Amino acid sequence: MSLLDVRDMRVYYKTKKGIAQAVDGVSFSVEPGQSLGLVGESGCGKSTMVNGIIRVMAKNAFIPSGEVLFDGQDLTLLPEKEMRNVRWRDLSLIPQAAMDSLNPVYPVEDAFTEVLTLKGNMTKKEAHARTVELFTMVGLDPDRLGNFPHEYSGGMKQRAAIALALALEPRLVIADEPVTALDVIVQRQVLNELKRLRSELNLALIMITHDISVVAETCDNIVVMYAGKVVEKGSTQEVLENPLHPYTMGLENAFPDPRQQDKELISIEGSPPDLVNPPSGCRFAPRCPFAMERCLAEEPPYEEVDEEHQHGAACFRLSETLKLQKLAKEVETWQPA
Amino acid sequence: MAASMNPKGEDGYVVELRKIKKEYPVRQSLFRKKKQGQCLTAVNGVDLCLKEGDSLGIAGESGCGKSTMGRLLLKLTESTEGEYLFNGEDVTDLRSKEEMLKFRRQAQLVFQNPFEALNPRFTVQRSIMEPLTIHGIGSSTEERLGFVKEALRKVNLQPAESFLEKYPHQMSGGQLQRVVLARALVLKPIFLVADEPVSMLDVSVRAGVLNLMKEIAEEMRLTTVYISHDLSLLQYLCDHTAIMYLGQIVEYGKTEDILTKPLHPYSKALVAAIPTLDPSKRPEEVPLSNHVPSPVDLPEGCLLQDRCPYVGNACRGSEQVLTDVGDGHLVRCDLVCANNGNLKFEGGKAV
Repeated sequence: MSLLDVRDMRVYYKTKKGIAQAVDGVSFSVEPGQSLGLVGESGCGKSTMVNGIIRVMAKNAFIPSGEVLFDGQDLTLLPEKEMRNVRWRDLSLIPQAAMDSLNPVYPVEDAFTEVLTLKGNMTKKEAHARTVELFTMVGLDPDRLGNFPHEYSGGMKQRAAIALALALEPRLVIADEPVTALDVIVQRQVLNELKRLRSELNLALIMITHDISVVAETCDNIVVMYAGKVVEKGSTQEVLENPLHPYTMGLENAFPDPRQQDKELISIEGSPPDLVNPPSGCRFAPRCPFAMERCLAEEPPYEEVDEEHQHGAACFRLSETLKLQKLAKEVETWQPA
Repeated sequence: MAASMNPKGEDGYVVELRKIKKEYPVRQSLFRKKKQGQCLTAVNGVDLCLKEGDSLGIAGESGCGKSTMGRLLLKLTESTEGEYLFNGEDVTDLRSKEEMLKFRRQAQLVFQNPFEALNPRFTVQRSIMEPLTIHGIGSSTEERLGFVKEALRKVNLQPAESFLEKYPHQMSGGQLQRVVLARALVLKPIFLVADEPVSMLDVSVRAGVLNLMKEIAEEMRLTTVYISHDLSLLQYLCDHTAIMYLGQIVEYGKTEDILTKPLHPYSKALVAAIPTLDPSKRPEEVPLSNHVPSPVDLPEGCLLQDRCPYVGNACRGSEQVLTDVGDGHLVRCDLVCANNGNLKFEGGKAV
């Protein structure tokens, strides 16, 4: 059984203009110890979705339908009181801008003490010992426990946020853009740290990022989202080497790679659709160079192509993948008509 | 070679920095007076020369002084030491308002965050026309409007007329950054500094803005400086790249050379840390320790000594000098220079 099984999940926002369908029918699963990268541009619903999973949502957000099965238990049905027992103990979140998630007027250790005593039922003494252990684990100096967050560097704060998420040994950690605000060298160290901890603790990880190269280096599987929908998913290597959906092909084109000096950068013209009134067909169709009439009228269903790598996409032209991949590498293809 | 670091009185440079230094006084506490001699060194004696059409990338971690460099180049902040020649004229101390206006007209900036760089209450037309009004370019509003439309066409916001009356909130990030670029270009500058020009944009639209900036710089023969922590971006924009560490340039050369065969241990670590789509091709990591010295209290000798895995006794004593190891590739590391750049580091040891 999967550790986390998200089925046809929807998260909508009530706005003045109407209902924004920020996450609209997303399904994926995470096995114990596995890492999953959730990729897409800003506004595609990746943060909204994980906030929906742990049910820490904005006031105007609601879940109209869908299941979030964690260990077989549907989290969307859990009363808030029981949900509180799940957070931190079974699954925890490293929030976006984790660097600012520590309370600036308390020493860093206080955040740990709070979680460990209130959620972990430890005494203060036990909590201190555990905090020292956690600090050592993520490569922080336990002498700095009494310092305030402003005395930490960005990388140290990020490590502290990771340590905090691991405090009660959850089985699943969700990291929302864990390295975006960091410099490359520190970013590398934090990614290595996450990798090491994952194998040591047999931790499952969901990593949200807009940076596909970060996913390429850390995640077993990848889910590509566009405008609230899953457009493609599968094993990371397979998706990156053999992209099925035109959006994934476009993302790879737009990505500068220092190891491919002669690669030409191609952008995807246009911008994501309005989620209050999304287009009736495929949501990527207005920007897609391969869109047919059918794409504008009907919504393509998700289809699995490669069972071994659980690789599939939601596109009407899956049978022409090879042809599209070839065309997608040319600049002319992506130029607006 | 298009740009060199240590010219001996050569002419024809658009930008020439000589031993430029920027120190910020440090306060002990909010209410105490500034202590004499306590200074934070943000830029520590940088030489830089750029000819017409040169494009230079400046890369490094946050706090390395790259943004201060950008501010110094645009005279948004005054240097504490050194000289700055712009187009052959000394602009180190610009006293009069006219001189400053003249400089500002020629040297322009592209901001990092397009969502904040434009006044939300100004239409696109007003935002781009404002610099023309300030500098008194064009005799009538119609003439200025013509310049505005021309600038919009140049940044591919077409038809220009449809964008004139738009407000920033009606546009996407990529479009906004094009407006910011148009506003910088409308004065027809000769020198452009872009500080992290695409870091706030989504990956799918980044490429468009990058390609556009590159085309325009080539077409207008602009001298450009791009500041970014992302080496893979600089590779697309810049002929030459300077790697900065704690206010000093530690390596300088053709961007391609720096990315494919970095010499300085710090550049090596930086290049090896860039995430890539194909992790199997990543070079061996250089393990730098975390201890970054405080820019208030810099160590003697090499500034990387406390982090460098290859450090020797010689590194701690003498100050390192930026030296040419051939083909215009400059490195500030005696260990590397002593071996003509052939020094290889493997498994944490110098071979």
